Amino acid sequence: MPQAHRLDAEQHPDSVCLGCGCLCDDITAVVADGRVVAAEHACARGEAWFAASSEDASPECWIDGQPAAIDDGLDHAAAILRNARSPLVTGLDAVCVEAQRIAVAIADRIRGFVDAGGLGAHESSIHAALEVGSVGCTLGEIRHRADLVLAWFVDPVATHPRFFERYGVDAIGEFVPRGRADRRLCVIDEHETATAAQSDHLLLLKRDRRLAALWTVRAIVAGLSLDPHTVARLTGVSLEQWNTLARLLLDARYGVILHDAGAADAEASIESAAILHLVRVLSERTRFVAAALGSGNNAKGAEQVLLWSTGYPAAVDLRGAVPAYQPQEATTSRLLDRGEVDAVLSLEGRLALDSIETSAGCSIVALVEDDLDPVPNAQVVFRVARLGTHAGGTVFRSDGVPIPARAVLPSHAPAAQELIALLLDRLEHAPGAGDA
Amino acid sequence: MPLALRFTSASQLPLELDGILPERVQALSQGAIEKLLIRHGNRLEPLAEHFAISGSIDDGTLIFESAMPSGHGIGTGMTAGVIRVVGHAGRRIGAQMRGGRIEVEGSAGDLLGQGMSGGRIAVTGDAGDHVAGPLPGSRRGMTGGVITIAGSVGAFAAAGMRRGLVAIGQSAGAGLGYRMIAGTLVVQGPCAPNPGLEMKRGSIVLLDRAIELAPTFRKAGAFRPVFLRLLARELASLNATIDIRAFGMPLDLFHGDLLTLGKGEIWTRAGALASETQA
Ligand code: SF4
Repeated sequence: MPQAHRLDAEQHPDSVCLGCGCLCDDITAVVADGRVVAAEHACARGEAWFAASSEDASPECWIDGQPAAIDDGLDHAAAILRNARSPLVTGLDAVCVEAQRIAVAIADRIRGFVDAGGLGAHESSIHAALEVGSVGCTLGEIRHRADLVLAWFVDPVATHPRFFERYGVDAIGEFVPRGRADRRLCVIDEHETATAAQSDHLLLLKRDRRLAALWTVRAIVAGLSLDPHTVARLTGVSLEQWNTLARLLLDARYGVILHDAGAADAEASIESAAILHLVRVLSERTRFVAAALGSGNNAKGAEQVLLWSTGYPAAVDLRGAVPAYQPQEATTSRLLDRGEVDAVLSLEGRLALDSIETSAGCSIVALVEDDLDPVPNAQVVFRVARLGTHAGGTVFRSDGVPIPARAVLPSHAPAAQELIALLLDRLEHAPGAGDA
Repeated sequence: MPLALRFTSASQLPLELDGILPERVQALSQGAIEKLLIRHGNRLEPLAEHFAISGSIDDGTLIFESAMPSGHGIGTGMTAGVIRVVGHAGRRIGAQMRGGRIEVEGSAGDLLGQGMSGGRIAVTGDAGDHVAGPLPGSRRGMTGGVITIAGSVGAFAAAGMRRGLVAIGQSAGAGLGYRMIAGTLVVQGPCAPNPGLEMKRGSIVLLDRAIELAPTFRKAGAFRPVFLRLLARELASLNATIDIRAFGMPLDLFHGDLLTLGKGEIWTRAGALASETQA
């Protein structure tokens, strides 16, 4: 519905919402009185994301909790990073690609570890793709072709409100002209989620039965015969129901399994690999793809930047002569938990906050986007302009499509890419920079 | 007399000890050993900065004294001699090891015996994740040698294992024997559900009384094959903390993982599976 706006309001068509992994780029942000007053086409979650744009009033730098000049902060941060013996550059998933590439250059310069983020959320899907290979597609392809969508332990209706409208189930596509009527939605989840409420076919499955279930479906699709009692005991769902699901999958012209990027534990990484295997066997009979929903951050961008700059997608060790891939050792959570770093450059303030417990003896330099209280455990904090409202930059959607986010509001604080470019410059040109 | 390295450093930062091998230090004077460079974080520093060095290596034995969970890569690429580690040590112990013996009197971190192709590792305590696993980027785990662990292990033990023997005295975490290609794995205690997923060949012997296998493992019957008796004898000679009396009784045999090649074998105590009918 068109909304009435004040006459002095400024319209910014094609703005990008970073409220969730959909990264909707059809938003018209309406700006008045120095803030976003409306976000046309956005869902409620997206409106809230735009409305949360900060006042842009708090100091731009803190040193040891006290407001300071950016220049002094840069000197202080450069000294910490230069003197570190085991530094980590992390939180790359919170910033745009332009900032990520400079962050990798900093990690290389100070000879440390570099990793995408703190939560390890992306880890298992990266591993799985490396081990199994993946059959993927862009979200546009799902929109135009998919006639079967299997939501595997994800609830896009709640977490990615416009996913079905833009890319999936509800959208009218070139080869699915009747939209929802031409598609089937299958949901496998623990509870009756919002997505389940819209499904054509629902299977309730306990979370700890995921592997048994995936093995069951893989076996059926591969044509193996299974014992009904064993299947019912291991999955809590009858073999007959699994057979019905497998039939639906095999009858699809173009199917897609929606899943999330997965946690970092052992079962999650086996699960991610098994989903890719299932897609592979299904693809021998029909067209099938897997798509991770992703979140509103730039984890995919971090993966891409790390790949083209170091050769590896995450957990890269730049301490030695050549980059080394240490997926089982050099992830952010492992390094922090084990106290193996003495300095952290975190491009995400939240991560620095969360690592309070483990950061004893570790110096932290953090970038924050919001008017957070100065990160209490950080030595130096820089406030940077908020990506998508106050600063522009490129963000990768979960399907690997780069989306240019634009600034719609002015900012006093520098963009993340500007700030860390200054930091890299300090590291390269300040005294002592020659002795590495 | 062995050469003893006592950890004296207060640093918690990662210390890379690859290159400190019996075969390498054998030819060196005490002064030269002290000057050997090790990586401490992002700098190279002389060994003597972190260790007090005493004794000599006449008998081919190198001892790391005192706990050092931040010391990684002990015995990497080792081909001969003996390394004893007294106390807990860090990750990648015996990585790419080809021969010789490593004895850990304490617990080992993750990646014990990563990419190992020969030699023997014995751990009196626990070991972390990825015991006998592959090097990053490789599909093949351990390709030869023997690892015995008296305690428990974390996730992905013997994942991708290609040849050799791994014996675990207590429990094992998720992903046990995942993608195993061949080789022998014995676990005395409880193991997380779904061991041996995607295993192609190889034998896994699970001696706990409650085992849960994926639906793609199929029971072949109960047997007492000669190979298990030979394995029991070998385990006894290795002093592995495995109750080999179980090998004297018929064990249930399951074939799998039928999703891959299906030539793998999982042996369990009779009736250890909740459903005897798994077929
Ligand atoms: S679906 Fe996601 S990206 Fe799109 S408007 Fe809503 S919150 Fe923003």
